Amino acid sequence: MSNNIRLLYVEDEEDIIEIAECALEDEGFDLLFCSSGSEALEKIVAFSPDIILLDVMMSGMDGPTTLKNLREIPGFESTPALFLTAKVQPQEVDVLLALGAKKVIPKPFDVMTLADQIKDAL
Amino acid sequence: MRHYALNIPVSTAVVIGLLVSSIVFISVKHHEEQKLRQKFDNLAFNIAQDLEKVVNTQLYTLGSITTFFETAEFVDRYDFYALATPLYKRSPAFQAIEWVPIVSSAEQARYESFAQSDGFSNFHFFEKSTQGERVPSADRDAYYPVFYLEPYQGNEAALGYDLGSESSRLATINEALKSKSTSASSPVTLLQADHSRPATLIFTPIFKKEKPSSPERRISGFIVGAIEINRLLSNISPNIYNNSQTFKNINITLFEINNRESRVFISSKNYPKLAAPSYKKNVRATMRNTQKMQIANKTWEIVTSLNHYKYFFLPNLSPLYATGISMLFFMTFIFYLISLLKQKDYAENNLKEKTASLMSSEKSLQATVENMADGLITIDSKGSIQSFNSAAEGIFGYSQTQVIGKNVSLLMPEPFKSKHDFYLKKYSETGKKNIIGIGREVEGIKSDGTLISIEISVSEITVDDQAIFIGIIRDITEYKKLERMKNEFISTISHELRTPLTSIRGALSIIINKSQEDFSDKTKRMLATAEKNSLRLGQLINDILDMEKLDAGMLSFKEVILHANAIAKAAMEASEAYAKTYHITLSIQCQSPDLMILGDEGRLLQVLANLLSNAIKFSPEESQVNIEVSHSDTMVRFTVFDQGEGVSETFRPYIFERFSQADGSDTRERGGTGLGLNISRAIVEKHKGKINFYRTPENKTAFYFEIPVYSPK
Repeated sequence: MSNNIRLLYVEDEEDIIEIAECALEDEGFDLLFCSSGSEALEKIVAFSPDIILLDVMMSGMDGPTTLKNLREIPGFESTPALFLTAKVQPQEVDVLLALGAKKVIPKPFDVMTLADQIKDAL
Repeated sequence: MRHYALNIPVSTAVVIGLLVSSIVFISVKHHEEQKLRQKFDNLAFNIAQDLEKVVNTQLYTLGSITTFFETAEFVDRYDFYALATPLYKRSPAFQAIEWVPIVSSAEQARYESFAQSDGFSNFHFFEKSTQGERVPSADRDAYYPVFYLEPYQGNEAALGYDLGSESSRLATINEALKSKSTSASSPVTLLQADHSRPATLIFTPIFKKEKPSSPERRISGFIVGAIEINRLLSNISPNIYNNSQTFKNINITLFEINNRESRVFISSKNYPKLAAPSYKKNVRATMRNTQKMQIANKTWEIVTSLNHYKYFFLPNLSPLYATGISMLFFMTFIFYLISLLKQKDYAENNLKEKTASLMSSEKSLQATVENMADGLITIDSKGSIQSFNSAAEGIFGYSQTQVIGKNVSLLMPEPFKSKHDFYLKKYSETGKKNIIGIGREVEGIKSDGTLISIEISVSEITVDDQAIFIGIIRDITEYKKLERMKNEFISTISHELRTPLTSIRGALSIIINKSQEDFSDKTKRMLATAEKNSLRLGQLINDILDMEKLDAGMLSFKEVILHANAIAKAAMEASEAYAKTYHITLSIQCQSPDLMILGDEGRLLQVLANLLSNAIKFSPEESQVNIEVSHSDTMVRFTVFDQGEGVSETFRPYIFERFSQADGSDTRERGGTGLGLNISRAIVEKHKGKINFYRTPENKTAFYFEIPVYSPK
């Protein structure tokens, strides 16, 4: 059992998943990428993440809804959650924080500091 | 002879003058008299009508009581009191209202004991002897006793009196029985009054209840109204018809025309309030008018007369003098007539011309207003709509006739609807404008309730000391819809652009930072260019998004207390990397102690970053860009100095406008969106501050902005 942080990232853009994977490799994470909210709901129990990263605008179930549904699964009521989003207007950020997110990281994100930003939220 | 000859034309003139003035005098007098006669006849006619109306009202009143007697099983003394009291009170001509049953001699005792049981212990049928004394009724087949009587007070003397015992009264009873209709008596003297107060008794028959098939309607008694003629005459007022007081001292005399066609005097009344002032005796005359009226089987004649009236008054002067005056008058009159005619002619022509030109200019104005593409509404100072052109009809869906005179708030949605009157009042009292001015965008409401966006320009004019407001209205609903679509499109596109940009920037950043050593110098330069441009693209997207928010009024701020110096330092650090690419050195001087400001950290950093990036871009290589934080009593100022060429004279007025850059070549060389300073200005103004620039004596360019010092209260 490693000391890696178990990170679940829900993102429907494959390209961004790839960038995030590059940015976060060798930074002490065990990564699970899900390309939809429903996939995350299926896999979360088995993966048992320490922290959840969510895109906001996704086809099908959007980020906030996914978070709400994840929160209803026993054991994940208070797992730290972060949003990664292009919606960065102050009132939009406030709405996301009100949903129980620890932090909102704006897109485009800085690949060099992404790992640190996530760790800060733990 | 000479003297005589000279007199001929003069005498002729005098004779003609006399003749003319006499004719004028006579015809005027005749005309005046005729007019007066006409007036007087009208007055007399009105008086007669009035009298007839008053009498008919009394008859109607009596009729209402008989109806009650005919329908009720039994009417007791108290019922009668309740019935008659309000009626005589309302009709002051009544001395008394009485019930007079027809009682056969067999029934006399029963009736008398009935009245006695009502509390009149001395009640007996009675009559007057020839000496005028009260005596028990003589034996007769039928009696007509006054049985019920209201008001009792003042009429006590009549209770029990057999009306059939007196010839004039009996004649009327027989007439009423024969004609089976209401009959009035000839003037009589009432028992309860003296002969100076003549009265007429009006006998209204009460019919017995009988089957409708019964061939004859039989009369069981009468309701008798005793009407005092003098009071009747007091009820009419010739003054009403004599409002100009033309006639003085009117006298009205009433006669009855009896069967033998002779007149019987009833009563006469003068109207002394109209008594004339003394008139010259030689203009006295009399007028007289006779009207006839039918009252309850009687014919009355009303004679209206008067002794004094005014007519054309001519002073009593010597004929020669009078002739001179009349000639002078005649000539003056002719001259006056001529000048009047001339004047009238001139005025008429003038008026015609003016009217024609007014009408054509009014018409063309009307046509202009009606055919304007913009709605035009005028309201008065109270808010009532005074005009509403056809474009306004089209915009609001109301027709002119529906809205003219209504309050203009009809066209406004809440909350303006209820506040508009208040605004108008406030404006008229204090001059504080709420809407007056050019091009305001507001909402209106159509007749079907839909909201529309309108642009309105209101101006005020004064017509006849009254303020009138003119509103020119343009329907911008479609335009607003398009604008909204444009803004939504920009918003969506900006978000959509960020996603691929994230991948591009991420990929570049990873390559540059993690695998630098694998590439040739050329590849590294290309990668640096790609990264720099991806940053620019990101900035462009942010600026466009900000601009859209600005337009929609939705650029939001999170105000917190900030350290002014810390903000400046953070901004400098953030621009360090960018400055390095241009080989520019950044420095900072904080002259102020660390002052507090209230603001949105991100937005203020954005302004500083914008000023710094401009300064860096336009500085010569290897030069300095300097940030200075200074302050006055109330404001904190951030200044960015550079050693560039400065802003050209022609560009200065436009530098804070959108998409402005000094020229095309600069754009290509230096990059930027042309939105930065425009957005910066909006941000600074939102912080209640201002932004500007100047050239220092050392030939530096200084861009600065200042915002209020935060002082906790």
